[in-house]
Amino acid sequence: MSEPYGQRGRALAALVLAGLLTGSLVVAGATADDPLESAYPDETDVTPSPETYVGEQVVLGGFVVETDPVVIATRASGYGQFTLVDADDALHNADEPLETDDRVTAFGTLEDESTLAVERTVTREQSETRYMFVVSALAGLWIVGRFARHWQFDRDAVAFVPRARSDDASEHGTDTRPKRDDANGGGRRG
Amino acid sequence: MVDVADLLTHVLVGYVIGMGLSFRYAWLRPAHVTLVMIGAFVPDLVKIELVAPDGLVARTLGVPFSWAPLHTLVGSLLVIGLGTLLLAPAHRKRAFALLAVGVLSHHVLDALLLTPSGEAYAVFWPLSAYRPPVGDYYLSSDRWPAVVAGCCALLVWLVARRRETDAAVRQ
Repeated sequence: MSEPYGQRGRALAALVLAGLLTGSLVVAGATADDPLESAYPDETDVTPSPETYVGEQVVLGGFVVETDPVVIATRASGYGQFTLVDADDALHNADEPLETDDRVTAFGTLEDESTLAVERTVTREQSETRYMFVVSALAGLWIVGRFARHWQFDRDAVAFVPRARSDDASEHGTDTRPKRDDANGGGRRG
Repeated sequence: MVDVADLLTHVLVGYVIGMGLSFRYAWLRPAHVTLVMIGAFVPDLVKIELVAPDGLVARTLGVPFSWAPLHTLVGSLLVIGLGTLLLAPAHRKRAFALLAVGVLSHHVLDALLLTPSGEAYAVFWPLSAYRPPVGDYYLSSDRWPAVVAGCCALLVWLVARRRETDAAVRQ
């Protein structure tokens, strides 16, 4: 099959898609409501001026400085302390009560400038950046390796096409399929 | 930045889904399985922000900027649309479908994450700011999802080998 709308049509389609994508990145940068952020104010909003958030639902992340009652500090310096009411009961991913230095993120309603009535608490390990980096790199290499092995660049079509069948038969039984492959593997014939 | 499952888990799940589909559909070859895996990776392109933070890009270009849309359904579909154009025309329809399956698996998996507010990210942005409730199953720093996905991947790989041997014997 040749390029249905010619290489120009293909370039135009790519341009439109790239334009829409770039546009969305700019629009997202311009809007206050980041799609990946929580819809609620968090500790970076609340800590400097908690009085303005009293009565609102907020998400506060920090580490535990006292356990009875649970008090967290949202800043590493120990500044930004909030008492969490019912934090242990609302804990979602651990059975034991919180201990000093545990890292927690709590969601609830700010009752006054330093008290959060907790609805949900999540505790987590120190994020293990190196582990995440290594396994993610492994995953990336795996994909790149597979793509290089199973696809090749066809200069006539200026496009990637699956490689001939011989080298992918090693992965699993492909013996029953040659006819269908011919039918849709026509990138070269264009 | 919302928490996301690690990339390896996503790619392993993509592999499992792709291989599963290849058992069902004879036209689906390893080259196609790779496409599902790539689709499962695409939303995590948002991690470019670790190298080029939003603020840096915004200052450089002089316009507001956020990588976040890459990790939404619409953004991921635009990316795989572009990717599909790199392939020869005869392969595009199927390639797009397979990439989309991967993208979908990524967003479903991330919606199962535990978040403090009990809501996931705005996956349908910019169409809707709706944040679906989360599944509360695991944290992004948990390792067991990768282990479970790895075991499933090993299993389908063994099944595939078995099928291959059986087919060779029949010939």
